[in-house]
Amino acid sequence: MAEPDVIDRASLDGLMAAAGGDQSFLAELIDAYLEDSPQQLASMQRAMRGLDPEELRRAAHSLKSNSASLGAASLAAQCKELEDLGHRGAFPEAALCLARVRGEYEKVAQSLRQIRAGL
Amino acid sequence: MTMQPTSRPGSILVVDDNRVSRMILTRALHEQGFQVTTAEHGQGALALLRSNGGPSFDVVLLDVLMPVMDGYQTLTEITHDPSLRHIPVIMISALDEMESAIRCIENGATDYLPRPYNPALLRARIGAGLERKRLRDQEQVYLQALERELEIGRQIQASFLPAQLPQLPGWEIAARFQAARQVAGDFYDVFPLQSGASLGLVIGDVCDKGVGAALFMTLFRSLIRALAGFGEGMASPTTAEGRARQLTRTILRTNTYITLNHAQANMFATLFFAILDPATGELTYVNAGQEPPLILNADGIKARLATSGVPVGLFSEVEYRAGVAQLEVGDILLGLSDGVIDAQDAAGERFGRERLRREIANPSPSAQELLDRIQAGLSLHVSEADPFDDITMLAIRRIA
Repeated sequence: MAEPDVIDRASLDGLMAAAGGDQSFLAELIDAYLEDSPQQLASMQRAMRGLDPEELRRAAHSLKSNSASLGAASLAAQCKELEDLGHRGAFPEAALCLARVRGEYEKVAQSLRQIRAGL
Repeated sequence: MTMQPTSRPGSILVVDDNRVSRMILTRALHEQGFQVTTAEHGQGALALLRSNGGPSFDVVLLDVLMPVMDGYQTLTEITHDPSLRHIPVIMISALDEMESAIRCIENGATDYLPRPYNPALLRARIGAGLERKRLRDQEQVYLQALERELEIGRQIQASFLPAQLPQLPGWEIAARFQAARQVAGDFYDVFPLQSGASLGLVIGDVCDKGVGAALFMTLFRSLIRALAGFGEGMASPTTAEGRARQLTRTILRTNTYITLNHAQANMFATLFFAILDPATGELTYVNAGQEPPLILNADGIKARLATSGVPVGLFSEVEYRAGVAQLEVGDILLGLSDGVIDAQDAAGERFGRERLRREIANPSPSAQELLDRIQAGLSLHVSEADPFDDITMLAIRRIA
């Protein structure tokens, strides 16, 4: 089971309110997030192998802002750390950080799938 | 570029490489009644902004970190493009990216919008951006209307200058006129008097520049033409004394009219008014404060037709004395407004009388050539500087 505080429900409610209370919009958004995030994670992995700080930074930045938007505050914070490490080109630390990000993302994804199923 | 002030809810261009972010913004803006177009990077945004016949945008929402062309570059392109820089640009920025948002605002962005988005803040920022755009558009509309009015003024004023200069056997007449702004306080006039038996010549300069001076220029010009008896076919004074009386009477009556009816306006004009007898070359003149016209011959400056009275319209009790000069074959009478002498280069240095003397030192084969030569020297001096004053030149050469 996902930990209950992986996703802040209030952020999702805020998004839905901004969309006029449209539940189907929230579902579309979660689908887009679950579709795009693995690409961003793959991009980070690729950047790590190629020692490309700019790609690492950009992918971490994207996952950070998407995760923050969907209420995944803890994942967003870890992505922010990874973004900064990418910016500094600190690859050994970044590798450890990326492992944590991947673990946290799995929890977020599971939690979002559950929320999506309940809409 | 559309210049009509917008009454529609507003068309927003969202530029963000992140699909989730674009979806959230687009939906929230739709909910608030805006039209939304999206681009995934700066290059796509610029293509949309610059496409002719495409949508025109009221506000651009711009992400900072994007592939292909990032927010900084895009912002620079927008603020350096005269056709785009009136569109407000709001940067999208996470709260931990304040530094980059500030950098963008220093580089011309209007505002920033923190991410994650708050609907009330989104509405407020977009609303402020739209208001700014509306005011800029309105300013453009007003400016264009003003330009149109001034252009009409310029055309009407141009019709107060001779449409074509009289053709007189044995004489060559040339003129140049250039307003510092659309409308001018300078004028010149050449008109037949006494059914063509003599020729009236005027160079005038109403104090100040712009619309006020232009209105008074039309008044001075019309008063002199009317009071001198333009086209009335009245008995022609055959002597220099008769012409002198006609000149001083015209100037005095003009002065009286202005001081009686327009004292409040504090407008006056320097005027050179002469009557030429084309048969003999005798020139009778009154110079009311005008830059002294010169008579040039093969040896250089033969005479300066100095001031013999105060500018017209300044005082009610004035006196003017007429002078007489003789134009021989080959002589050129050259009248200039002080705008020629005072013309400044970019460093503020005046063209000056010495420079003018050098330009006219060599004898000229024609009145037109002389004015072209002075104009060329003047253009070289002024170069890229904004015109400082109106410029008027009139030259009359006796050929035979």
